[in-house]
Amino acid sequence: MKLLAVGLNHKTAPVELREKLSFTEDQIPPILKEMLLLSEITEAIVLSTCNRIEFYAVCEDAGKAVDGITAIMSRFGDIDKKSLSSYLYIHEDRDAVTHVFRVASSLDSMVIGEAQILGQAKDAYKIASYNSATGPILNRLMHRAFSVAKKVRTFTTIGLYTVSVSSVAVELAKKIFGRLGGKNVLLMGAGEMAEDAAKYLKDAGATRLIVLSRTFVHASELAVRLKGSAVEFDELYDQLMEVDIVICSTSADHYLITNDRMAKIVKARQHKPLFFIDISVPRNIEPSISSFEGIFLFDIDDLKGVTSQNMREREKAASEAGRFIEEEVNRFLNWLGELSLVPTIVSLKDKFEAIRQQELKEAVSKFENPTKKDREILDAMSRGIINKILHEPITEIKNVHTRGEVLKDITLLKKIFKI
Amino acid sequence: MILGTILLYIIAGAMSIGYAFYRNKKLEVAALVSMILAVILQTGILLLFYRRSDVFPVFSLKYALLMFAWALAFGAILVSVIFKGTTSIIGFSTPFIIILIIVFIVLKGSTKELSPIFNTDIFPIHVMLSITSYGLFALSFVASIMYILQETWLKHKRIIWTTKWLPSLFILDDLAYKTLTIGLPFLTLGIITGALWADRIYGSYWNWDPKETWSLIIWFAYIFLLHGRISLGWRGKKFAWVSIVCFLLVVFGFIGVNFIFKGYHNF
Repeated sequence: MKLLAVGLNHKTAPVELREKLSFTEDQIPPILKEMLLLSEITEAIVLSTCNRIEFYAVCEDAGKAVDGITAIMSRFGDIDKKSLSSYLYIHEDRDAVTHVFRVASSLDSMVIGEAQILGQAKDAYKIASYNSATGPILNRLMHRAFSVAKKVRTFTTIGLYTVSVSSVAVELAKKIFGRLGGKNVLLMGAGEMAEDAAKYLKDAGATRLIVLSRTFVHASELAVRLKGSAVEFDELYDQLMEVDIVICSTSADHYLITNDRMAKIVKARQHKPLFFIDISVPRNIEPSISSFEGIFLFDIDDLKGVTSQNMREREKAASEAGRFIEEEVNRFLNWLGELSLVPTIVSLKDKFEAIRQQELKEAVSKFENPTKKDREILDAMSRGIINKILHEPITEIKNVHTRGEVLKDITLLKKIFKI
Repeated sequence: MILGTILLYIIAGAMSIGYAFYRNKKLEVAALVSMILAVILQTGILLLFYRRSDVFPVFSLKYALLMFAWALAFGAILVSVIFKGTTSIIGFSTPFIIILIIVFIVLKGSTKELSPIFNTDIFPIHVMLSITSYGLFALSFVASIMYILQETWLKHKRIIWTTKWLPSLFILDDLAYKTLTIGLPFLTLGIITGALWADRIYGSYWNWDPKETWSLIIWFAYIFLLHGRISLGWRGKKFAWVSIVCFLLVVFGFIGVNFIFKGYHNF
């Protein structure tokens, strides 16, 4: 019995290939069905996200199973089987368990620590178990994976540091204003990053979004899209009296918000906090305004500085999380060993007993007139030999089990005795 | 027992700072728990003293310091339980609490017989009210320090481990302001009960004892600060700085005045 994790991800395969293999929820049940049709595979899960496609399986013969899975992939993704195999990674047993745990904990993600993967893994498991593709081993594996992921998130800082410019902006806003409820956001100009930041702020609770642009039509369009309201450009300084957060992403070649004008506004606002995010290049807000009481100004470099610093923190946390993972992998493998230990011992004893019965029959048949006592002597002797032979190996397996190496040993045992 | 209390406060502070670095929720809980244990132990010390001497345990500067530390610790626990994400106040208030307790240990206890003039009903109330207000002012002071640090770091775009550890500017400002608005009525009542007591003993409400005078100065200082906040729109950094100055006046009034001027206040 082997555990297998086969797949490809953003590190091993180009996006064109991943696109072909990015299956929807409806496409997965037939794939699971195909997998289980392979005689080697007893349990299966398919995890498909935009960054990875992975197949988890419990199988008897890893080589055959990988072959079967590759064939299924090439058929469903319409890719040449030979070229496919160069992009695949194949993990067995301990490596497979480690891999599954790392994926669920978001340590293997493109953006380390992103929170979506856990939900995607849960969905993949749900689909598989709904289609009766999972059994005791994958059930346990996935449940452990989810609990490891939760542990990693709780006990390391991995989910704590935001790594996108927009979410950093939201976080800073929260550190200034506490809650964002009742706060008004002014968006100057357009651009993906600025719109993203505005959307994030609104999702985080900001009450009103005001859009302002050189051309009023643009502002109106954008306002409709972002569910805000548009104002004329010359209202800028009036708006600065009212709003709490300003996102500036204009393409002017000079400062739109100057130190001199701000001096008056700051005073009139009674130093009520005002948070500027200037993502325009060249900058459109005079940097010196940040020396006013209550004014916080971050430009694009400042924000990027925070995100890359946070990314480093996440990487640090990820290596810390490795410790939890290893611990849990050991625990899982112990359980797995225990699971296969009992049946192995039983079949080992059965095999020896069968041999004994056969030899006993033969020996008895060689007597001319075997008495009851003759039979008894032969029976006792053969039983004694077998018990003595088996005693030490069985005790040893049971002891080895506590050292957590049982899986390897059981495989060897099965191989030697052909059970 | 007292050393145990100090040790628990040190642990609480260390856990809180550790939480800042490692962001491990267990450390945060540990900080709060050891803080609560410390306060319980300190309450025990105060009660023991009360039982042994059968007088309210604040008839000397020594024990008043212990009460003061207790009030601050109790307040810090309340704040971190009531307001979300404010456990860092434990890390900031424990140093002050520990200093207060160390001064308590170092200071020689008043050996003189307790004068019967203190044995009136109103006196313990006067002391309790005053110390409660001091505790609240101390919290306001701690929150103001935290505000200034957080503000400075945010302004200079130093987004480091402390950014997450410290609460938002809004909460800190609110906290510094609220503790002060609650503390001021307590101080007012403390002064009034003090005057009532003085009337009973000396036959006159106000005797211009240095401590009396100083408490009046403190009272005006805080009124001035509140006025600045409400009518002049002092907020943020300015408010925090003035609050810190006001608290330094309190500390001087609490400890310093008696060493410089002589009056009938024991402490």
